[in-house]
Amino acid sequence: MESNLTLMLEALAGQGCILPSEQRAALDISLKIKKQDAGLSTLALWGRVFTRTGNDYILAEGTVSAKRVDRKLVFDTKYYFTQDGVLWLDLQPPENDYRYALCKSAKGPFTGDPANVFLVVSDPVEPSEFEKLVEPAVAGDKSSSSVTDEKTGSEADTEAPSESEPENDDNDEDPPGEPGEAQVIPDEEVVEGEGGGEGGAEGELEEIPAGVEVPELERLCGLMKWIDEECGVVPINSLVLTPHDDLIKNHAFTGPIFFDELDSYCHLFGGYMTAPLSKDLPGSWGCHVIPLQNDVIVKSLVWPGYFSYYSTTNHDWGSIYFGYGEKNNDIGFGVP
Amino acid sequence: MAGMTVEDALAYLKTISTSTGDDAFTHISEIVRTVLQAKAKNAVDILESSFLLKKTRFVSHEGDKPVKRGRDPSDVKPVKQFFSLFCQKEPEPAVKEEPKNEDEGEEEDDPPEEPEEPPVNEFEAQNMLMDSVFFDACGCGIGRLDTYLVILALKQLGDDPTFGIETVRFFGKFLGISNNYYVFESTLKEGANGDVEEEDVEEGEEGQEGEEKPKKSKNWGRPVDGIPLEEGVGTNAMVYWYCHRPGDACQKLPPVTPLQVKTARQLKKYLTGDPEAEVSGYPPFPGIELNYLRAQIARIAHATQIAPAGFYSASEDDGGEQTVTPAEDFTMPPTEQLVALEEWVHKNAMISKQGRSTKYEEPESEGEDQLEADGEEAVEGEEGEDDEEAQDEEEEEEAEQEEVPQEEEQPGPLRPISEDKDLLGMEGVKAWSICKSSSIKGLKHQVVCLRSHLWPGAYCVATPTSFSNVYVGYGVKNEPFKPSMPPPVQKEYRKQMVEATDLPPKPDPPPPQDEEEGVGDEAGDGEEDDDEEEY
Repeated sequence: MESNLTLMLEALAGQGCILPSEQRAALDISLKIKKQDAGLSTLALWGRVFTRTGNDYILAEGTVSAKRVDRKLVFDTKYYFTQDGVLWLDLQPPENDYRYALCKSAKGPFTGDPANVFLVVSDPVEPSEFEKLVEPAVAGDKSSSSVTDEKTGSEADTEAPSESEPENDDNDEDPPGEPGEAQVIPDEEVVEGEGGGEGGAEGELEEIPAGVEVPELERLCGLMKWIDEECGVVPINSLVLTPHDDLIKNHAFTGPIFFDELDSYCHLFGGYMTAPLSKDLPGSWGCHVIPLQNDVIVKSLVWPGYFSYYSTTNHDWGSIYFGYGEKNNDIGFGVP
Repeated sequence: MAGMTVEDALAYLKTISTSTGDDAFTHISEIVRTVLQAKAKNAVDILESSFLLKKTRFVSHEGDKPVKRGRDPSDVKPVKQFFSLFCQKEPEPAVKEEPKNEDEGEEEDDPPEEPEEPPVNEFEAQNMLMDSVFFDACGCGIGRLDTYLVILALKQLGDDPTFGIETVRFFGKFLGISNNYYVFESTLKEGANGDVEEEDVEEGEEGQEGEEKPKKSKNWGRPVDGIPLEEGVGTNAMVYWYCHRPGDACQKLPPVTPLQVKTARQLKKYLTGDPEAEVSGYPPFPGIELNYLRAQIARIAHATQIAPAGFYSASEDDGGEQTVTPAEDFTMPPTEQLVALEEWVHKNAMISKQGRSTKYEEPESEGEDQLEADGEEAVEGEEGEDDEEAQDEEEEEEAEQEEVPQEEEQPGPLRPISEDKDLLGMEGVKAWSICKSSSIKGLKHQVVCLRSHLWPGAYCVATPTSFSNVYVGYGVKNEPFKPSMPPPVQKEYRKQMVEATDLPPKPDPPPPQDEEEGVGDEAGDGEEDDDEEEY
């Protein structure tokens, strides 16, 4: 949700959230332009992701609408990125849960080159979830092969492992991430042992996937979604539902009474009022009140670099992420 | 609606809401009354917004509470610090003397009640004002406002005559869970030392951990180490100070010991913000959070303090120790040159596995077994995997008498950062990345920024006139963390239990059974000790 950019950057500057002067100078105006161009109701700076080469990504998130549908809050969010602060480009979110899970499994910092593609080996899954993912996990380097497949137009091969097809009917468009179609390819490419109608190596659980290609921008968008779900901190009662079930900013917000307690903040994308930060893993959030300025900074230790602030003087709040995009999985060791 | 009578309906509307204590009936009647009184043209719109306000639980408290005059008790200290930071007297009616005007750096530091005016300490400080602009241009540091407060804090720290500071620099800001640390790096004048008691590490027991030292309660239960700390050189070449906010009185951080560095390498902890907090983890850390902070500072300083090649020149001391001093005739290379990694070198030597930057040799009188113990320690230190061991560049070669199984190479200072190893576990990710302040080609007067991936938050910015290092972060290294395993379970004592022969002789056997019983009955409750002795 939209927050006052200047106030937020000033409040969080002390935590190391600085934007280079050139980009900061461009940001106010460029955000406004983009908001108009895209027809968004809100557009806010989301954060900055540091990259390996120094070409950092500055990210913004906009909402077209935020509604309550059937007792759940549904957000229609759009993601944008820029590298110079001037021109905002679209980011496509991952299409399905599988791609999203792949984005989460990607390791290593971003490169700063939007055309880069990561080879991601998905994390090992629980046995109960394995059935859902058994074909994609085994499909191997399907993306590169699927390109050649399209070129040669060998549709004839699709009938061979047709028995494996029925499980993957959902996505019939042909993005590289399509598991069922890609099932074909290893058979075609690997001439040696496999042969045609084996249905791919569906039963072979030992085969180590060579890696799925995940474009950098998709991973970036997946990261934004992930952090939104796990963080996305707002003070409680800061947003309110209108009678038309739209979630809007509460203009009569006077702030939480106990602003230094984690109870006063909640996850916006994780259930809003029903998900206060105090219910999270104990020790994963740090709350710090700056004396005399009465700004409250909420830091995440699971996502180091994520900060949320609330100002008691003008009841303004906002959150931002400045980091490399890596989750801290060693949180258990780090907290006292 | 059909089955409800008027009474039922009213009763329902009057049910009190549990959260706010008012009920629908009152609210509706209020609204109707307001609308009728206002007689506004757009009564329907007011009606809707009124319901919306109700939903947000908006209760205006304006004008309710009396506004207090004076300070909140919790604010007294920060206010005082704020005024002292800006070298002003607090405007309180209780002050007896009139506030004086203060010139910069001329006046005394002590409160005006003191008749004596001790001379202000002469010191050199970093030109942070200039640096803060460059930090901002590159997107690092802590922002202009906070940096200005830090500038004043530098002055406050340097002015104090008891500290005796020669040069001082802002090292960086460590973020903690509930509080932050602002750290300053300084060199002290001859003969000066801060007024903070230091934790001494006892020599004598090599390699033994968990040794109890009843001598100082602070060290109770903490591991001690035989390798002494480096006095005044290497990891302790600089003296560090910390405070929670600019304006706080700065506290000196104690020198760091090699064991602290070694243990800190095996831990991955966040700072809580309380310097006296325990650092709990395995292996047990020999110190409190203060020491942990100091150990992280030492690691960060030795890994990420960089300078352009040629800025420092190394000189050998008599003791074979290298010191780096700024070279006299040095000009900063132009920006185009600065964007290459080869142009930059590390200022400090790497910290060895031993935990020191200069190698510690056991004195020869200890004998061979002690030297082997040292070697074993060096091997154990490998558990906490870190890539601070480069295999190249041995600038410090000392005549090694002992044949330690794993000969540790000691990279000295001034090695180019282009030779830093890539991040562990990720190929191709260099330890440093370079960026410029602007993405527009051909823009003159750009600032070059080097960013460390090994220690996220460590930056160095450079312009054709100067360069500056800073660290803003959690104090956590970016490397895959492998927690140390607990030691193996100790084996059972296998030897035969033999009765000791040096105990006092056996007492006389007890008297026969019947007599004893009789005695026991008579004795009753009062003489229980007699009974015990007999047994």
